[in-house]
Amino acid sequence: MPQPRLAPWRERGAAVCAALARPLVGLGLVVGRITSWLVLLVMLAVLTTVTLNALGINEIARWENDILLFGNALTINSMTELQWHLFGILTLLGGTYALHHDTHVRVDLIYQKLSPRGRAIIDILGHLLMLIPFCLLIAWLSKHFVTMSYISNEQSNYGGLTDRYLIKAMLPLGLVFLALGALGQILNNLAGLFDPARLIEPSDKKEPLHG
Amino acid sequence: MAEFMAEYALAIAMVVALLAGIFTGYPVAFLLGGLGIAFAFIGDIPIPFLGTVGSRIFGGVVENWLMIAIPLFVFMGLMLERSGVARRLLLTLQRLFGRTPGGLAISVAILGVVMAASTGIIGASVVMLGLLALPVMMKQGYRAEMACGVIAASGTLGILIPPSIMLVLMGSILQVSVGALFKAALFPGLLLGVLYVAYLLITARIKPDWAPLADPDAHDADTTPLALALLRDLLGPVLLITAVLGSIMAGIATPTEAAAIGALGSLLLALVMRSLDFQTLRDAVRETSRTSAMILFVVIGATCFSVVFKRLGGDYMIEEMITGTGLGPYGLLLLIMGLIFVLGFFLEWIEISFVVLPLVAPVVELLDFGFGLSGQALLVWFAILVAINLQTSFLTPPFGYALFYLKGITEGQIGIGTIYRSIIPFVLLQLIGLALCIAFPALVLWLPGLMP
Amino acid sequence: AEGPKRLDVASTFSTQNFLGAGGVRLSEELEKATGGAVSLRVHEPGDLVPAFEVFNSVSSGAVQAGWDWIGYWAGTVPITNLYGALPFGPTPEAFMSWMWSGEGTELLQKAYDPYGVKVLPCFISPQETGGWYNKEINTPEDFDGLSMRISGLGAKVLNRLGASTQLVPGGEIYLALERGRVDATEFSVPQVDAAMGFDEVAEYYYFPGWHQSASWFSLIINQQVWDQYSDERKAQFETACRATLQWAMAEAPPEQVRTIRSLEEKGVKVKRFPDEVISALQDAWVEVRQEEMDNNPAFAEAYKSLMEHVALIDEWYELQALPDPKPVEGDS
Ligand code: NA
Ligand code: NA
Repeated sequence: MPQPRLAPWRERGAAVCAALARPLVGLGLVVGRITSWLVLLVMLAVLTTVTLNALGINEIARWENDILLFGNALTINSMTELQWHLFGILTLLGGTYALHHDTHVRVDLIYQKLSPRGRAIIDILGHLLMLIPFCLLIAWLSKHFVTMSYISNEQSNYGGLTDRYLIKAMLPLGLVFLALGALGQILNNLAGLFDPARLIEPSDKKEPLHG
Repeated sequence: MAEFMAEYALAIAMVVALLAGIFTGYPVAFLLGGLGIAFAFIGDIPIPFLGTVGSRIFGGVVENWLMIAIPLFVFMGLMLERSGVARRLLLTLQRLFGRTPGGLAISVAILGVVMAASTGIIGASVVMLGLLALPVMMKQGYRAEMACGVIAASGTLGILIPPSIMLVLMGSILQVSVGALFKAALFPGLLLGVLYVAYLLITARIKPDWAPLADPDAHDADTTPLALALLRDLLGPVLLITAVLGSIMAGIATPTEAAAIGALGSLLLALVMRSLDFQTLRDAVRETSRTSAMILFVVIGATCFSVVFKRLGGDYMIEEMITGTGLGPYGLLLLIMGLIFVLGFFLEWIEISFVVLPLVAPVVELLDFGFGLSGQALLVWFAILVAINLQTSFLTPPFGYALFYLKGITEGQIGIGTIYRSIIPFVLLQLIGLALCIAFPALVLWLPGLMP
Repeated sequence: AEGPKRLDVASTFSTQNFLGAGGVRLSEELEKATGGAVSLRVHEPGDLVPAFEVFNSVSSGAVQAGWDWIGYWAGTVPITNLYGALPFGPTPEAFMSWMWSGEGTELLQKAYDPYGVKVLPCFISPQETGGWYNKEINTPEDFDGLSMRISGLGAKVLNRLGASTQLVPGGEIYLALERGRVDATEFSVPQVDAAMGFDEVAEYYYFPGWHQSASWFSLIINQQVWDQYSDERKAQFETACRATLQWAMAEAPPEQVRTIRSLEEKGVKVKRFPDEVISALQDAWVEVRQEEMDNNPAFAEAYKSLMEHVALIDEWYELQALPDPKPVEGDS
């Protein structure tokens, strides 16, 4: 006998929340998958630096007109600074990717004994009270930090990369991106509260881990 | 006491809130960050002050060149795991130890010491060792407590055994020779390694089911003579470790850069072993990204928490606790050690070094322990005691960052409770090591030639 | 309204060494000058914000004030290269004269104004050293392929002689030098270098520090915070600042020589660059300087002003020059 398992408003609520969550979570996952490859670029940048140093080469190339980020020369210090530029993007955007895979460390002594519903509530409250305020406030307050870098045309004092504002802007961008990811998680959890069948069991959650 | 509590009410409340918060199971990184913000509002700190947090994240994580080693070493660990190289190495190492109970765990401890000599980044070593060894140990039926403990403890040795960024920093804060600190840290670091191995040997003998030997059938399956098997399975990893350590020793790379050489080496090794395909590589980079972000977001959250904690008087609170007592030399030393141990629960070692060391160094320099040490020798000895202590703080629950990092890679298969239990014996071993270095300063001071 | 009684100051150097100790000294002088009404709380680097983030945090008001080496901000305010590390620049005395009797402070303040930062130059470190080397420098060609940790204008000069100048974080210099990942590094004055332990890992200690004849340190204060102080307080800040500068100029030089002696006892070989090398460095500097002046009008303006001022001082001392004193009888 088909069970009328849910009130229609709950079903509707769950569907709306899930629909809203999908693009937010999806975006975080897609971006995370793409930026993951940066680890290989970081490795290449470091190896290039090491090789250039071993060969005693300082400047690889010099050209006439300034180009974005690289200015008018590529030196060993451009490579060194490129390392942490790439690393910074990898880390800041990887935070959201890790959020969607539930990789961030939990002290789960109590958490693992809770019902899926209890866990969803903790995550909703945590994201609303802790993560999102942190991300948005720090992102907002770093406005000065980015604009000052842009206005002053801040660049390396080691003959490395120019346009320092680009990587500085990654900080607020990364934090806002994480807040959006957290919003996606909240909506997903809300969908689960409306419709408990949607609460994913940890074993199911593991499925896309290696995907 | 009541006055003290009233003056530092908010700093104390912050610690209490953190302790309460982590047991809800909400991610530690986000909790640290969120509580920092919440207490800035509660403590009526001007909002612009929180602008320091963005600067701290940028300067301390993004622009911090040393942190680049984290994804690179994590990637190296994952490639070694995925390509099966690590598994075969550990199994063969275990064959080398014959039928020694606990042979696999001992191999992990030895690997930990070797890795410690190439890197000093705790997050990276713990994760790499965990990725390598945990699946093998669990598959062989090790008790989870045994496996996690040895991985976390061995993984933190890197910050003590030179080269160590922590010792370089301490050298400049305490104005003592970095070279002397490197020499001084070597025996205590090895001593801890020996203590781990002794503990593993004894435990494996008393509780054979905690550290079972490899399935005899599996052994029979590998009919290669041991010598040949060793040659076959050791060659790659030995080449890799040689490349990492060798490139530092030969002056080709800094320890940070050596991580990239290790990462490339692991990639080549997988290629040679014919276990590198697109999917393996893709999975490895994706997991690297998530795992590194997991480690670095703990650092990001902690940097927000600690700047607010200090602003609320947390550092004055610490200062008062140290200077407000009338203890003798050993009493004061033990108090400082105890305090650093407790601070290690929730502050980063960099901050402890900067906050506590300058406060206590002038006091320590004047202490007379009765064996005629010069002021410099005293500071070197003290620095190493602090270093052992800080290394231990990575292991102590509830805020042992090494434990968090290990937890982060178990993908929910091992609970934090198990990891907390796993570390107890190793924390005791750390305390024994620390006590030995306090009782016998020669352990620390003989090698740098500072013993009177 | 009266400004804060206790200013939070983010230092870019550990107060355990001479450079950071300048900030602590300034605080003492300020307490004296104000009768205890205003003091500084000097925070260790990284305590509030990492060293390289101090300028921008003071500008935004996240941190009230900073104690810095002026040259750190060259990435943002290029003119600060001149105050922090000017190759073949004037002596500390002549530089000070330009700062206080010439246009020096004014031009620096003008460059900081867009960022809302008040600057009080309060401390000068004596000429830095030529650096720690593990290779002997006998001819200008010896710089070709040399890898050295050095920043700013000095690095540009070395690049022209074929050196690979690079960035190694403070904590890794020791090891990089020990293992030969870099052949040389410059850092600071002997007193500070010695504490870094470079004597253990480098063979030669070269002089003179051609890349930096005098370098300025300052108290920077968020403009809005500064404006809260009365004129009287502001004057007291200036007084404390000058007292600190005088202390630094008096204290530093003899202490450096004492440190060098003790380093020599430990086996460090103290050397001077041959004249031929210094001359080649200066030629390269002339080229770098021209490029810098072409690209950066503010730098050109300040450099010309400084040189005109220094020329007056030089002329005075040339007119007044006396021979070295004859040794006292009985001295060997
Ligand atoms: Na190490
Ligand atoms: Na801990």
